[in-house]
Amino acid sequence: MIVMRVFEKTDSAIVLELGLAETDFLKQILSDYPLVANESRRFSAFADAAEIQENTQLLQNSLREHTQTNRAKLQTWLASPKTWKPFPDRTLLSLKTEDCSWFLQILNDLRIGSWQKLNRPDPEELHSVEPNQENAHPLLAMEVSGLLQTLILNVL
Amino acid sequence: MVEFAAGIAYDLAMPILEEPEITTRPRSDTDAQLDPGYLVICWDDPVNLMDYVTHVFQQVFGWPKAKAERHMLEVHQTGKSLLARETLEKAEHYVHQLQAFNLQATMERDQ
Repeated sequence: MIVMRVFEKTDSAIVLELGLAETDFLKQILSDYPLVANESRRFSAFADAAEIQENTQLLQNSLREHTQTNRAKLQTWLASPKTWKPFPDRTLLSLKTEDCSWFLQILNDLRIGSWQKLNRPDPEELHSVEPNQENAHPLLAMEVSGLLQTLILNVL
Repeated sequence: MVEFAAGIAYDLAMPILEEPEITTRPRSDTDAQLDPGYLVICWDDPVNLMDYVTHVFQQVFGWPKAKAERHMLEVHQTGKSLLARETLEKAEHYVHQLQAFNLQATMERDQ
Protein backbone atom coordinates (compact mmCIF):
# COMPACT_ATOMS: atom_id res chain seq x y z
CA MET A 1 0.00 0.00 0.00
CA ILE A 2 1.30 3.47 -0.87
CA VAL A 3 1.21 5.92 2.06
CA MET A 4 0.56 9.33 0.59
CA ARG A 5 -2.12 11.88 1.38
CA VAL A 6 -2.85 15.60 1.56
CA PHE A 7 -1.98 16.69 5.10
CA GLU A 8 -2.91 20.36 4.81
CA LYS A 9 -4.06 22.85 2.22
CA THR A 10 -3.82 26.59 2.72
CA ASP A 11 -4.07 29.49 0.29
CA SER A 12 -0.31 29.55 -0.10
CA ALA A 13 0.73 25.89 0.06
CA ILE A 14 -0.15 22.23 -0.07
CA VAL A 15 1.44 19.90 2.48
CA LEU A 16 1.60 16.23 1.58
CA GLU A 17 2.24 13.42 4.01
CA LEU A 18 4.39 10.56 2.76
CA GLY A 19 5.59 7.32 4.31
CA LEU A 20 9.35 6.90 4.61
CA ALA A 21 9.62 4.40 1.77
CA GLU A 22 7.47 6.66 -0.44
CA THR A 23 9.70 9.64 0.44
CA ASP A 24 12.84 7.76 -0.62
CA PHE A 25 11.24 6.50 -3.80
CA LEU A 26 9.88 9.94 -4.72
CA LYS A 27 13.31 11.53 -4.24
CA GLN A 28 14.79 8.81 -6.40
CA ILE A 29 12.36 9.24 -9.31
CA LEU A 30 12.50 13.04 -9.14
CA SER A 31 16.27 12.82 -9.61
CA ASP A 32 15.58 10.99 -12.91
CA TYR A 33 13.81 14.01 -14.43
CA PRO A 34 13.49 14.45 -17.41
CA LEU A 35 12.48 11.10 -18.85
CA VAL A 36 10.62 12.16 -21.98
CA ALA A 37 12.93 12.89 -24.91
CA ASN A 38 12.27 16.12 -26.79
CA GLU A 39 13.25 14.46 -30.05
CA SER A 40 10.13 12.31 -29.95
CA ARG A 41 7.83 15.33 -30.17
CA ARG A 42 5.87 16.17 -33.32
CA PHE A 43 4.57 19.64 -34.02
CA SER A 44 2.37 18.82 -36.99
CA ALA A 45 0.29 15.78 -37.82
CA PHE A 46 1.35 16.10 -41.46
CA ALA A 47 4.91 15.46 -42.54
CA ASP A 48 4.57 17.74 -45.58
CA ALA A 49 3.63 20.87 -43.64
CA ALA A 50 6.85 22.56 -44.69
CA GLU A 51 6.43 25.88 -42.91
CA ILE A 52 5.76 24.07 -39.64
CA GLN A 53 8.60 21.58 -40.05
CA GLU A 54 10.98 24.52 -40.51
CA ASN A 55 10.14 25.62 -36.99
CA THR A 56 10.37 22.17 -35.44
CA GLN A 57 14.04 22.54 -34.57
CA LEU A 58 13.39 25.90 -32.90
CA LEU A 59 10.53 24.46 -30.87
CA GLN A 60 12.61 21.47 -29.84
CA ASN A 61 15.46 23.74 -28.73
CA SER A 62 13.03 25.90 -26.81
CA LEU A 63 11.52 22.85 -25.06
CA ARG A 64 15.01 21.58 -24.24
CA GLU A 65 15.82 24.90 -22.56
CA HIS A 66 12.50 24.75 -20.71
CA THR A 67 13.32 21.26 -19.44
CA GLN A 68 16.77 22.39 -18.29
CA THR A 69 15.22 25.29 -16.40
CA ASN A 70 12.73 22.90 -14.79
CA ARG A 71 15.55 20.56 -13.79
CA ALA A 72 17.58 23.35 -12.20
CA LYS A 73 14.53 24.55 -10.26
CA LEU A 74 13.75 20.97 -9.19
CA GLN A 75 17.27 20.45 -7.83
CA THR A 76 17.06 23.67 -5.82
CA TRP A 77 13.60 22.72 -4.54
CA LEU A 78 14.70 19.19 -3.56
CA ALA A 79 17.71 20.55 -1.68
CA SER A 80 15.75 23.18 0.22
CA PRO A 81 15.12 22.40 3.92
CA LYS A 82 11.72 24.07 3.54
CA THR A 83 10.58 21.33 1.16
CA TRP A 84 10.95 18.28 3.42
CA LYS A 85 10.01 18.08 7.08
CA PRO A 86 11.19 14.69 8.40
CA PHE A 87 9.56 12.75 11.23
CA PRO A 88 10.54 9.31 12.54
CA ASP A 89 7.76 7.55 10.63
CA ARG A 90 6.78 9.98 7.84
CA THR A 91 7.71 13.08 5.91
CA LEU A 92 5.77 16.26 5.23
CA LEU A 93 6.38 17.64 1.77
CA SER A 94 5.58 21.34 1.23
CA LEU A 95 4.62 22.70 -2.14
CA LYS A 96 3.81 26.38 -2.71
CA THR A 97 0.51 26.88 -4.53
CA GLU A 98 2.31 28.87 -7.23
CA ASP A 99 4.58 25.86 -7.87
CA CYS A 100 1.79 23.29 -8.21
CA SER A 101 1.49 23.55 -11.97
CA TRP A 102 5.26 23.29 -12.36
CA PHE A 103 5.40 20.22 -10.10
CA LEU A 104 2.49 18.58 -11.92
CA GLN A 105 4.48 19.05 -15.13
CA ILE A 106 7.50 17.32 -13.57
CA LEU A 107 5.38 14.43 -12.26
CA ASN A 108 3.71 14.04 -15.62
CA ASP A 109 7.06 13.78 -17.38
CA LEU A 110 8.04 10.99 -14.97
CA ARG A 111 4.73 9.21 -15.45
CA ILE A 112 4.80 9.39 -19.25
CA GLY A 113 8.51 8.58 -19.43
CA SER A 114 7.95 5.49 -17.25
CA TRP A 115 5.03 4.44 -19.44
CA GLN A 116 7.28 4.75 -22.49
CA LYS A 117 9.88 2.56 -20.74
CA LEU A 118 7.17 -0.08 -20.31
CA ASN A 119 6.60 0.01 -24.11
CA ARG A 120 3.42 2.08 -23.88
CA PRO A 121 0.94 -0.49 -22.58
CA ASP A 122 -2.77 0.23 -22.37
CA PRO A 123 -3.12 1.87 -18.92
CA GLU A 124 -6.22 -0.30 -18.32
CA GLU A 125 -3.96 -3.35 -18.48
CA LEU A 126 -1.28 -1.97 -16.17
CA HIS A 127 -2.81 -3.56 -13.09
CA SER A 128 -2.53 -7.00 -14.64
CA VAL A 129 1.16 -6.60 -15.54
CA GLU A 130 3.24 -8.99 -13.45
CA PRO A 131 6.08 -7.01 -11.82
CA ASN A 132 9.60 -8.29 -12.44
CA GLN A 133 13.09 -6.92 -11.95
CA GLU A 134 12.93 -5.03 -15.23
CA ASN A 135 9.52 -3.36 -15.01
CA ALA A 136 9.08 -2.90 -11.24
CA HIS A 137 10.70 0.54 -11.12
CA PRO A 138 8.77 2.16 -14.01
CA LEU A 139 5.52 0.53 -12.83
CA LEU A 140 5.91 1.96 -9.35
CA ALA A 141 7.09 5.32 -10.72
CA MET A 142 3.89 5.54 -12.79
CA GLU A 143 1.80 4.67 -9.77
CA VAL A 144 3.47 7.10 -7.37
CA SER A 145 3.64 10.04 -9.78
CA GLY A 146 0.03 9.45 -10.90
CA LEU A 147 -1.22 9.29 -7.32
CA LEU A 148 0.61 12.48 -6.41
CA GLN A 149 -0.79 14.24 -9.48
CA THR A 150 -4.31 13.18 -8.49
CA LEU A 151 -3.87 14.33 -4.88
CA ILE A 152 -2.64 17.75 -5.96
CA LEU A 153 -5.25 18.20 -8.71
CA ASN A 154 -8.03 17.31 -6.26
CA VAL A 155 -7.17 20.20 -3.95
CA LEU A 156 -6.31 22.87 -6.53
CA MET B 1 -26.99 82.46 -35.57
CA VAL B 2 -25.74 83.84 -32.19
CA GLU B 3 -24.27 87.37 -32.19
CA PHE B 4 -22.00 88.55 -29.35
CA ALA B 5 -21.45 92.15 -28.21
CA ALA B 6 -18.08 92.34 -29.93
CA GLY B 7 -19.83 91.73 -33.16
CA ILE B 8 -18.50 88.23 -33.64
CA ALA B 9 -21.11 85.87 -34.91
CA TYR B 10 -21.18 82.11 -34.84
CA ASP B 11 -23.39 79.90 -36.86
CA LEU B 12 -24.57 77.17 -34.52
CA ALA B 13 -26.53 75.32 -37.08
CA MET B 14 -25.29 71.73 -37.60
CA PRO B 15 -23.43 71.30 -40.85
CA ILE B 16 -25.06 68.94 -43.28
CA LEU B 17 -22.89 65.88 -43.68
CA GLU B 18 -23.07 63.68 -46.65
CA GLU B 19 -23.52 60.02 -45.89
CA PRO B 20 -20.21 58.23 -46.43
CA GLU B 21 -19.99 55.78 -49.21
CA ILE B 22 -19.00 52.37 -47.90
CA THR B 23 -17.21 50.09 -50.27
CA THR B 24 -15.52 46.74 -49.76
CA ARG B 25 -11.76 46.77 -50.28
CA PRO B 26 -10.44 43.73 -52.17
CA ARG B 27 -8.32 41.40 -50.05
CA SER B 28 -4.60 41.83 -50.55
CA ASP B 29 -1.65 39.51 -49.92
CA THR B 30 -0.92 41.47 -46.75
CA ASP B 31 -4.38 40.64 -45.41
CA ALA B 32 -3.72 36.97 -45.98
CA GLN B 33 -0.44 37.20 -44.07
CA LEU B 34 -2.12 38.94 -41.15
CA ASP B 35 -5.00 36.48 -40.94
CA PRO B 36 -4.80 34.06 -38.06
CA GLY B 37 -4.63 30.83 -39.98
CA TYR B 38 -3.13 28.06 -37.84
CA LEU B 39 -5.13 25.54 -35.89
CA VAL B 40 -3.92 24.32 -32.52
CA ILE B 41 -5.11 20.75 -32.01
CA CYS B 42 -4.76 18.48 -29.03
CA TRP B 43 -4.76 14.75 -29.74
CA ASP B 44 -5.87 11.94 -27.47
CA ASP B 45 -3.29 9.76 -25.79
CA PRO B 46 -3.88 6.81 -23.50
CA VAL B 47 -1.80 7.99 -20.56
CA ASN B 48 -2.44 11.61 -19.53
CA LEU B 49 -4.91 11.91 -16.65
CA MET B 50 -8.19 13.63 -17.55
CA ASP B 51 -7.99 16.09 -14.64
CA TYR B 52 -4.42 16.93 -15.62
CA VAL B 53 -5.45 17.73 -19.21
CA THR B 54 -8.22 20.00 -17.89
CA HIS B 55 -5.71 21.73 -15.62
CA VAL B 56 -3.28 22.28 -18.49
CA PHE B 57 -5.97 23.82 -20.72
CA GLN B 58 -6.89 26.19 -17.89
CA GLN B 59 -3.25 27.15 -17.38
CA VAL B 60 -2.29 27.60 -21.03
CA PHE B 61 -5.43 29.32 -22.34
CA GLY B 62 -6.75 30.85 -19.12
CA TRP B 63 -10.09 29.13 -19.69
CA PRO B 64 -12.67 28.56 -16.97
CA LYS B 65 -12.85 24.97 -15.75
CA ALA B 66 -16.10 24.18 -17.60
CA LYS B 67 -14.64 25.14 -20.98
CA ALA B 68 -11.39 23.29 -20.29
CA GLU B 69 -13.35 20.19 -19.30
CA ARG B 70 -15.46 20.39 -22.46
CA HIS B 71 -12.34 20.34 -24.63
CA MET B 72 -10.75 17.60 -22.52
CA LEU B 73 -13.83 15.42 -23.01
CA GLU B 74 -13.80 16.13 -26.74
CA VAL B 75 -10.20 14.94 -26.90
CA HIS B 76 -11.09 11.85 -24.91
CA GLN B 77 -14.25 10.96 -26.82
CA THR B 78 -13.43 11.94 -30.40
CA GLY B 79 -9.64 11.65 -30.44
CA LYS B 80 -8.87 15.35 -30.81
CA SER B 81 -10.06 18.85 -30.08
CA LEU B 82 -9.50 22.10 -31.91
CA LEU B 83 -8.30 24.46 -29.20
CA ALA B 84 -7.49 27.67 -31.05
CA ARG B 85 -7.12 29.29 -34.46
CA GLU B 86 -4.22 31.71 -34.38
CA THR B 87 -1.35 33.31 -36.25
CA LEU B 88 1.70 31.11 -36.79
CA GLU B 89 3.58 32.80 -33.96
CA LYS B 90 0.77 32.42 -31.42
CA ALA B 91 0.01 28.86 -32.51
CA GLU B 92 3.67 27.98 -31.97
CA HIS B 93 3.51 29.54 -28.53
CA TYR B 94 0.48 27.45 -27.54
CA VAL B 95 1.91 24.23 -28.99
CA HIS B 96 5.15 24.87 -27.10
CA GLN B 97 3.24 25.39 -23.85
CA LEU B 98 1.06 22.31 -24.31
CA GLN B 99 4.02 20.14 -25.23
CA ALA B 100 5.94 21.39 -22.21
CA PHE B 101 3.12 19.80 -20.20
CA ASN B 102 3.54 16.65 -22.32
CA LEU B 103 0.23 16.91 -24.13
CA GLN B 104 0.15 15.81 -27.76
CA ALA B 105 -0.50 19.14 -29.44
CA THR B 106 0.13 20.07 -33.05
CA MET B 107 -0.56 23.03 -35.28
CA GLU B 108 -1.95 22.76 -38.79
CA ARG B 109 -2.48 25.39 -41.45
CA ASP B 110 -6.18 26.15 -41.74
CA GLN B 111 -7.45 25.23 -45.19
